[in-house]
Parts: sequence; C-alpha cells; structure tokens
Amino acid sequence: MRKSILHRTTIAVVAVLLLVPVLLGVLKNTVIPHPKAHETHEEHEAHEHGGEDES
Amino acid sequence: MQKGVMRVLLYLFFVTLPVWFTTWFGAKAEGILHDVAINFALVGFMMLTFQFLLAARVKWIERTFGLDMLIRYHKYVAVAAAGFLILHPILLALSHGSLTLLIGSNLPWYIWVGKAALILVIANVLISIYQSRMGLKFEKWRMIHDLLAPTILVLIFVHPWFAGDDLEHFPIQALWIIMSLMAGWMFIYHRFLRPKQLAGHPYRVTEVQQEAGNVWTVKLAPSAGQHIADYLPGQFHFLTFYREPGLPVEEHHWTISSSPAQKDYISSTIKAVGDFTKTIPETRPGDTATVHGSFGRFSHVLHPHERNLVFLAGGIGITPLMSMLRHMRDTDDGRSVLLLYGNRTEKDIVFRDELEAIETGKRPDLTVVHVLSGAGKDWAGETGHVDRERIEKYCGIDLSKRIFYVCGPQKMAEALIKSLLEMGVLKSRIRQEIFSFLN
Repeated sequence: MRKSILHRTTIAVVAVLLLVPVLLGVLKNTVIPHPKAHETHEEHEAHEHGGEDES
Repeated sequence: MQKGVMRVLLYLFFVTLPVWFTTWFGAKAEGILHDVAINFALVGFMMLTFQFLLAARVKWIERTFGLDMLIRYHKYVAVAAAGFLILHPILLALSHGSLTLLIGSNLPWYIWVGKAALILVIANVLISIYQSRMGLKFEKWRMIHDLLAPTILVLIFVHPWFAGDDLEHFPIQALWIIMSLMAGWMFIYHRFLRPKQLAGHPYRVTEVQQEAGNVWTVKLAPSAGQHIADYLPGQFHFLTFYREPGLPVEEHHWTISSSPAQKDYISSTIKAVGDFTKTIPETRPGDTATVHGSFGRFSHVLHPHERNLVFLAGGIGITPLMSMLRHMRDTDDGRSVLLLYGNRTEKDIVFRDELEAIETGKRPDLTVVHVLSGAGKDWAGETGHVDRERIEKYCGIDLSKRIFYVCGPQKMAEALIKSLLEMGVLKSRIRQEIFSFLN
C-alpha cells in the first residue's frame, strides 16, 4: 500500500540524512585531508616564526 | 517504481550536496561536534528549500508518487527538517562548552536571525500539524503558511551567509544562491504566476445538477479554442470558482467524476457540507472557474491487467469510482467489478440510476450492492455498514485474486483496510487515495 511505502521511504530518507552529516563530520576531522588544514599549518608556522623574529 | 527510486536518490544527493561540498571545499575542521552541527544546519536548509519544490505540484515529480503522497511527505520532512535545525544550535553550544549561544542575549544580529528562523519553522510545523485541532480553517492556515514559508526562506539564507565560515567559499555560496532562488521561484510560480496563467483560460460552468440530498455535480467546459487536458479516471483537480460578488473565491480540490472519454466537459461531484461547499448550489451556468490538474494515482487505468476489482465506497467517496466505472462503460471495458456502496439512507445514494444502467449494460461486468446504515422499513437490501462480513459474503473467502479500491470517510476507509489486511489481502492489492492533505 502506498501509505506504508511512503512511511518506509521517509524513515529511510531521514536516516540517510542523519547519517551523512554525522559521517562526513567525523571524516572531516579524522581522515579527509583538507586544503585549509595545510594552509592553517603554514599560517601557524609563519606566525610562530614571525613571533620568534619579533622577539 | 524504478523512476520513484531514482527521484528519491536524486533528492538525497541534492539535499546532502552542501555537506559534501563543505567537507572538501569548506572551512577547516573545528571538531566533530561542531562540524556535525554545521552539517545538520546545511541539510536542514536544503530540506526546507526542497519543500517549495515538493509543494508546487510539479508534474514530473507528482506523476511518480501522486500528489497526496508528496504533500504527506512534505509534511513529514518539515518535522524532520525542524529536528535538524533544532539540533544545530544545541550541538554548537555543546561543542563550545557554553550555553551563551542558546540563552545569551549579547549575540550578533545574524544569530538572532537564525533564532527567528528556527522559531518560525517550529511554529509553521506545529500550526500545520494541529491546524484542525486549533479550529483553523484551511484558507486561514494556507495564508499563514504562505506568509511564514518565504519569510523562513529569507532568514535561513541570511543567517549562514553572515554566520558561517563555509559560506565564504564559492561552490557553497553558489549552491546557496541557486537553491534559494529555486525555492523562491517555485513559491512565486505556484502561488501567483500559475493561477494567473490558468485564469487566462477559464472554464465555463455549463450545468449544476443536484444528484442527491446535498450532493451536486458541476459540469465545466473549456473556453473556446481550448480543450480539456488529458486525465485519468479517479484523479482529482483543483478548482477556483468565480461567481457572483459575495461568493467566496477559494481554491479547493475535488475528485473528477466524469469519464475522460467524454471530451466536451469535465465534472466534479461535490457534497455541500463545509463553509465553502455549502455555496456550491449557488453556482450558476455561465460562471467561470480555473482548473488545475489532474493529479493522483488512484486509477484502474494504471493497472490494465487487473481484471477482478472490488470497489468499497462510502457516501461521496463514490466519485472517483464513478469516474472509473463511466470510463469502463465508455471504453467497452468488460472487466469484473463488485461495488459495495455504503450510505445512510436511500436518499443519500449518489448516481443510483446511472449505476443501475451500467450494471444492466454489462460494460463493465458490474455488480452493485447498496448497504444502508439507516434504512427504512421498505428497504429489502443490505443493512449496516460496508465491513468484513459484507466483503466475505460477496467476495468469498479467497480474496487473493481481487484488487480493492477503497474510498470513503477516513474512519470507514481505515476500518476497511484493517479488515482487509486481517483477511490476508496483500497491501499491494489495496488502493486508497488520501484526499484530505492536512490529515
């Protein structure tokens, strides 16, 4: 019956929509190399060096 | 089925697209809790923008699922989207280890915009769920919904644009703008442009006929040079009547009761019970109406190989079934149909003479059984309700070859479907249209 198909589909869709943000949130913080991460590292180093120069 | 799955996968792809984008092109990682909070907001935003598409009666989507199912999905998804958006500030506050975001007053203006959006989303969902229990009339609810929806769209566009680091990146900015424009366009087209287009080719009321008691059939013919768009027997359409001053101009949906084989007019048979429908008898030939449709998947035409049908109808629920029976008659369709038709009294039976004529004509091979719950002493037919006992009496014990079409008052339909399932009928062999979108 269409109504039960709708209910099952909605539950499946919402489950996927819950899982994807959680999974990608975890992946972003663990395994995915992020261009910004590299940039940040360089900025951090530059800042550190700058700090040393100033002192 | 395959088309339906493809469309659901497309929906999932687009709704999660900004999350994929931010994962690879967005701001730097700021901790799992923080990033999940942002991702939930992105998904919530996309779900809300897609709400405009789902509600806009887009044929490409509707024809696969049926408008009744789409509107129901629209309603369920609104609750889920509200859930995602509620989780967003809670998880952010947890990730910061501070409740300032939730209860603080010294916050930037764009945070207040986000809070306002969240409050309006929750209000919109609650008003829609409790509309009937609040005694809110459909037209008033629709007006509130039409005001809240675009306001929410603007707020959920503005809030992350200024608050989120991710919106500083071009792919996400582009997606944000495209989705917001799409949603805005859908709203404007659905609520303003299309009604204007339809009003440019109005139908003309040619006849208003009393069928029984407070049941009326309104026949409509297209304006000169126009033709009636194709429709399936059993489908419904949206009508807006333009009548003498003082009579309400509101859009309502009704089942089409005419046969698509009849090309001169299209008709709806309407029970005058509500505030608006009570004015239907005041409709006169020569009045005009806009017709938007047709919609729905409650039709035997979609299942041409099914030959053994049982129609279970109650009261005005006969209308889509009548359209199907008329179509079978007009197309010389000889399939077998058993109609169990419940009413209170003989006077309440709609289309009684025409049903008898179709039964006599044997096209389709129709058997009509009237069941009256308040029958007079003269009534020699079935008394009581269309129920399990009646189904077993006329269909026998083995129901495995039958296909059931159920249409009638909600409680009756629910009770019948429950009985059919208890009798071992597969869900796939029970057809029902949910005509009341807001229930």
